[in-house]
Amino acid sequence: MTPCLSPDEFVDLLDGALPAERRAHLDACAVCQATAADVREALAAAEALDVPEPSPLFWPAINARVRSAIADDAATTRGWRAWLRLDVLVPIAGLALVVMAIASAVDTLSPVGQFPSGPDAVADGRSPVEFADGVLDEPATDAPAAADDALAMMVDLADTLPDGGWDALGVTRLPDLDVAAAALTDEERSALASLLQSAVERPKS
Amino acid sequence: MRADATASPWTLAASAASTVSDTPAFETADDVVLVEAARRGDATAFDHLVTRHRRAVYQVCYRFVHQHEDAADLTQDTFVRAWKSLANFRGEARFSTWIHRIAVNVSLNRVSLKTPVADTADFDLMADQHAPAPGQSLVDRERAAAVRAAVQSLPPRQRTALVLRTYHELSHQEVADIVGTSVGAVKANVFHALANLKKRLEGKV
Repeated sequence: MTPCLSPDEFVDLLDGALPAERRAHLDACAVCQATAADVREALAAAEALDVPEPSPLFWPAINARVRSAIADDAATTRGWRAWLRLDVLVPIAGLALVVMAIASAVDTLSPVGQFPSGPDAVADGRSPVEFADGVLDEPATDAPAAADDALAMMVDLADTLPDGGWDALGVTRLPDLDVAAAALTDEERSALASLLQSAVERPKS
Repeated sequence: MRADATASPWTLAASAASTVSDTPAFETADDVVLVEAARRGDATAFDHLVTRHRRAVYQVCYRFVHQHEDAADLTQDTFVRAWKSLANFRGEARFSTWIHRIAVNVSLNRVSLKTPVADTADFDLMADQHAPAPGQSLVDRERAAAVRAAVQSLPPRQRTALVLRTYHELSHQEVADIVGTSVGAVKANVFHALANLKKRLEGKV
C-alpha cells in the first residue's frame, strides 16, 4: 500500500493535478477519500462567498481618494523638507557653531570641577578660593596662563579680605568671577586690584 | 504629463495629483511602462495603475475585513503605500504581485489591530453585519455569515493562502511570491485552511 496523500497532494487533487499513481491510492484508501471529501466541501463553502459589488461610483472615488491622500502626504513632506535648504541650513549651522565656540571658550576659561558654596563649603573646611584655585579638586591643567595669573591675583586679594568680604563686594558666584577675571587686560587687572584694595581698606560703616 | 527628471517625485506628486489628465498612451501601456513613469513622479501613470488594479486590491482587502468602508480604506492605504514605495520596486516581481502583497500586509495589519485572534468556539459571534443581497434567504445569509466568520478566524497565513488561491485564482507560485514563501508552504497552508474550515463549520452550516 502506498502512503496516504500529503497536504500538497490534496491541494493538487483540488486543482486536478494529482498524478495517476496517487489517484490510484486515493481510489483505494477510505481515509484519504474522507479527507478529500472534507476539503472539497470546505472549498465549496468558501467559494460560495462573494464580495458584494460596490456602487459604480465607488471606483472613480477610490482613484480620487488615492490622489488626494498622495497630495496631502506630499504637502506634509514638503513642510519639513522646506527646512532642508541651504539658505536655511547654512545660517542655522553658523549660529550653532558660534554658540558652540562660545560654550567651548567658557569651558576652557573656567576651572575644572564644581564650586561648592554656602554651608557645604564651610562644613568641609574649604574656602571658596581653594575651590576656585582647583587645589582641592582636579587641577585646572588646561587653563591658559592669563587666567591663572588673573586668578592668582584674585586669590592674593582674597587672602586679605575679612570675613564676609566677598559678600560685601557683591561676588556670589565664583565661576562668574573667574570668567570675568580671565577676560581682563593687564591695565584692567591693575585697576581692579586698586579698587579691591581700597574697598577692603575702607572702614565699615 | 511628463515628469521633470530633476524634480522630486514628492513635489511632482502634489502638482500632478491636482492636474491628472488622461494620457492616451497610458491606456494601452503595460504595467512596466506605467510603473517606470510613476517612479519618475508621473501621477497620471500611477492613476492608471490604480484603475487597473483597484478591483483586485479591494476584493483582497474585503476578504480580510468583510466590510465595505474598511475595505475601501485599506484599498486607499494600499495604493498610497505603493506610491511611496515605488522607488523600492525593482520590477523583479510583477506589479500585480507586488500590489497584492502590499494589500495583504495592510489588511493583516488592520485585522490584527482590530480583531484579536478569534477563539474557534465563538467565531459565529464575528458574523458580519452587512446588508443581505436581494433574494438571499435567511438560511443562506446565516450560512454565508458562518463561513465568513470561519474564514476570518483562520490563522493569518492560512487565511491569506486561502483568500489568494481561492478567490483570486492566483497560481501557487504567485501566492508564494506574494506571501514570500515556497509553493509547498502555500499548498500546506491552503490544505490546513480548508481542513480547519471544515472543522469549524461542523454543525454550523
